Amino acid sequence: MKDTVVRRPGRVVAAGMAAALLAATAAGCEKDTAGGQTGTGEVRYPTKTVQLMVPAAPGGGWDLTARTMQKAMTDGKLVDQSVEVYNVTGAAGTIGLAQLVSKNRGDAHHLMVMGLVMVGGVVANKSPVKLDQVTPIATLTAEQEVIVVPAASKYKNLKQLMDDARAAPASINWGGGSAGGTDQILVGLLAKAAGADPRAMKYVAYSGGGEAKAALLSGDLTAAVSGQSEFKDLVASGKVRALAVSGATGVDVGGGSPAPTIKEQGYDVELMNWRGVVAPPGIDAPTKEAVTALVDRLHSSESWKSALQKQGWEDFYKSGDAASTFFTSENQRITTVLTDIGLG
Amino acid sequence: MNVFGDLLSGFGTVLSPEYLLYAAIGVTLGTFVGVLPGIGPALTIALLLPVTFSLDDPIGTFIMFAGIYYGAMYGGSTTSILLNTPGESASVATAIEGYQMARRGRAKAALATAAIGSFVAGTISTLLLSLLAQPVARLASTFRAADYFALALLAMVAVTALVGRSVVRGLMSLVFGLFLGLVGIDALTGQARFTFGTMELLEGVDIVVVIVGLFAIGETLYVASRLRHLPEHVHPLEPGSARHGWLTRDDWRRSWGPWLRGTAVGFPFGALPSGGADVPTFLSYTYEKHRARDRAEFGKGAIEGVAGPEAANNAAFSGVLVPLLTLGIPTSATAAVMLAAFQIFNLQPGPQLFDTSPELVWALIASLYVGNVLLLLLNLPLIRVWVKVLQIPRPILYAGILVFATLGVYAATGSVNQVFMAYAVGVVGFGMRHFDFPIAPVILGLILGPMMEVQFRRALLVANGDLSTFVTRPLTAVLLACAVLAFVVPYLPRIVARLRGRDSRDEPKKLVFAEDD
Amino acid sequence: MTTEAVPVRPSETSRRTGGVVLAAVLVLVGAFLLWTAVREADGDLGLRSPRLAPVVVSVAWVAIAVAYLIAQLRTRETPPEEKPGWLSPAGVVACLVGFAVALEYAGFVVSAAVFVVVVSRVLGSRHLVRDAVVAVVLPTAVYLAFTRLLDIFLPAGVFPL
Repeated sequence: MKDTVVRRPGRVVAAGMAAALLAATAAGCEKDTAGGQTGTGEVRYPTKTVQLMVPAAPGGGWDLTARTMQKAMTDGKLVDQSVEVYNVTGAAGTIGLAQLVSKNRGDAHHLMVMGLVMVGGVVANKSPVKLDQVTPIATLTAEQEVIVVPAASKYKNLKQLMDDARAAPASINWGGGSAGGTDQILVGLLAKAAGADPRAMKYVAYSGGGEAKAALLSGDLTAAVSGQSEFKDLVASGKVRALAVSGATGVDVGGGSPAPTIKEQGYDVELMNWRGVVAPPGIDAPTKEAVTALVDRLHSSESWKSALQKQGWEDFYKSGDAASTFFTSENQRITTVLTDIGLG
Repeated sequence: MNVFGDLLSGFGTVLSPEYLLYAAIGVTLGTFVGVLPGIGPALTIALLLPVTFSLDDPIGTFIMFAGIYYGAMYGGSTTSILLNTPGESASVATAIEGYQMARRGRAKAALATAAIGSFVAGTISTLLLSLLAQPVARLASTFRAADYFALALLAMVAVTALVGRSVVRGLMSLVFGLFLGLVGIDALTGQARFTFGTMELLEGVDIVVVIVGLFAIGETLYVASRLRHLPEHVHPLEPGSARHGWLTRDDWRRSWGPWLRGTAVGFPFGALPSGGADVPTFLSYTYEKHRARDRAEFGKGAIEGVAGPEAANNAAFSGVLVPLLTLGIPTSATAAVMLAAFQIFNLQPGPQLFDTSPELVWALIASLYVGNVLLLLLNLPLIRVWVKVLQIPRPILYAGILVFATLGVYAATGSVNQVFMAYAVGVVGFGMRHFDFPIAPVILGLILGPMMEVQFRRALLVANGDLSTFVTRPLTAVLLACAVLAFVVPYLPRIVARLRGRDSRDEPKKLVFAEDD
Repeated sequence: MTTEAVPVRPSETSRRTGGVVLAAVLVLVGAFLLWTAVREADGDLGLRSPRLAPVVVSVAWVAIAVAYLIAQLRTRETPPEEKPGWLSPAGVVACLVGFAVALEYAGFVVSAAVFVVVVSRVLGSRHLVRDAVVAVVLPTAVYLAFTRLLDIFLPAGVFPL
């Protein structure tokens, strides 16, 4: 019985074990060069197990990203070391961020998955550890946000909704994920673009898209904001109507044809819920390059491409300087809007 | 809409050797991890979720997942009963009577009524799920924030019996739980409360950490303080007979009612988009205690107090699947993990799921039946093995409990600070045991407090601060009226007596300062 | 809930003195929480404010703690019975703290092994060899099962398996 218990799920595990054994031998032989530089000036990376931190509980978007990365790296033999994923839960990822900065300084074998939510979390939670303290590596994926109303709602397009939001903010109950998260950020940006007072927007926070969904159906909410795939089935079944998506080009959120973007409806707002990966602070430039090279290889691997397709994630790859610049600009934009909402 | 045809084809899928193997793997894995003290079902499932990532087949994954869930659930009750170390809130009610039964040598009967009760409740509620999923989901999705507040208030009033013999101690425990529930970021505004400037407290106090601390660690410390006075063996053990599933005729007679009533409470509660599995277990416990002929036996190992909550617990799981499968709304930690598993295969559960992936849905439902049967087949014989735990020498047993409790908290949160938090709560739990404070109200406060507060404020926010929102909808008004009634009824005799002019000078004092055991 | 059926109850005298001290501490803690809650509220105590519930709960805390204190002061003294030991629980807590501190540096296997040996002694075991065997086998088996079979991360520390 016990043997059969692990046989099937053991396929990947067995591969991991083999990799770990290899890793142990490799590490044993090359102790003197481990983590250091080879003669040619290039940094060997990774020289030991890569530890991938998920700063949230298992099962969420970051977790899925990390485990997909793990799978792609080992399946595609991008590393001859094993890759371990571990979760550090809490406070929009800021607990994990603090841990990465304090405990893993200078250790390039610890990487952390993060994203827009963490940018907001650092601001809203007044985290003493800031995102500019880590070493940016790359952004990987992104999802658009969608704004939906119940099928029976009088709002047929975004403009009607925003007109009322400007004229009578108390009449609109916005709902979505946790306070200061992507969903509320979008409401804030949208209000600003529509000339309404971001602070006056009545935003009801829920612990997740599911709860917001229930509240929208029960009539508590006028409009709900969530990730693009969250309402797919409800849109397809005609129970809710998608008013807008937040990306540069419209995507199908269940209606059968691409939903219009916010920009197309006259508001200059674009927001992607992106996810990326960072390394701890205190990493020298050659090592950073080596880590970036690994993520580059990951990004162009077949396994990663098929995963993107399967998950419906948009490819949102920026690495090196482009990533650094992007991190800085997002940080600025999010800080501003959260301050406008009154959460900064 | 041919439910039975669909279900039959679901069974056709599941009853292949390969999928049966998955189900067996799931049940076994779930049981063996869930049985580790201090590692409860939610934790087990979160820990085992990545295992399911390695399967490429959605049906196989879900079949295994259902197995893991049932296994973990039952494994969790096993340690709650034997060692008083529940790993999650839904097992706390079971531990109250189950542990007392174990102390009296009735461990086998307690485990058996839990196993058979889980099976009965699991099967009935899965049947309800197959037949009623759509209408129940429609009904459940009409609940609004004001209704949830009223419901939480009703539950709070209804379970005050758990406060125990000494009202003031019970209330102190409850308030402690309410306080723990407030720590961290406010869910509605993101503002920090009672965090004392620390990062670690922002996320709040994790209920798993509290439960592991109060029970596994608190209990161990308590045992350590009384080492000299304790007998060599942890508990005596009555032989019991496997012939009638370890239960005597009397046990059967006393168990079947609670099983059915537990199912009746668990399923609808689980189906509510903000219900979950823990509240119905407490409701079931309170109800069984209330209607028991020999109320004095409660607290000393009444089998009804194990049978009811265990059934409620399992029935709630099928209930939880109702909003999950029909609306894509996860209502418990487990369901959230399950939703994640759906998303791995890029499936978004919702009204269309029954149409777009009928094979998957019905296979999943069929696998619930199969998982239930496998669980019973695995666990009735295993009772013989589990009770052997009680023969492990005490020092080794409790050392093991501490190792697993630490391991569980660390693996779940990835943070040593959380481990320290569990230890600190453990010291509090030890103090509470020493000074005879009941433990269960802490958990109640921690579950119901935030639910009440957040839903109350949400309802007001939605209604622009208009308090009449709590009385204008019939559903809310009825629930609130029930809560008021439930609060007043126990005091009616006293009030009537006072109105009739009898001397009641000592009565109120006794109510507040009751110290009699 | 749990203490009741234990054969030996704590001494009533010690519990009374202890009870009074505990009640006093509870009142003080409650007062501190109330002070914190009021300060955090900064006058913002509307029904919709996140600051209301902390104040309500800490007021309740103080009120109940005061009631408990009064109840303790009224309790009559009864002859002392056997006293619970304080040394063992304190020892266990010390072991736990050591375990948690060592966990990430020494790794799970080593720290758990040492912990099991020491804590079993504290809990009254007199079979060093048996404890040692358990201490080696249990953490190793758990470590291998978790990291290799279930892919759950545990710190490897100084003794990578």
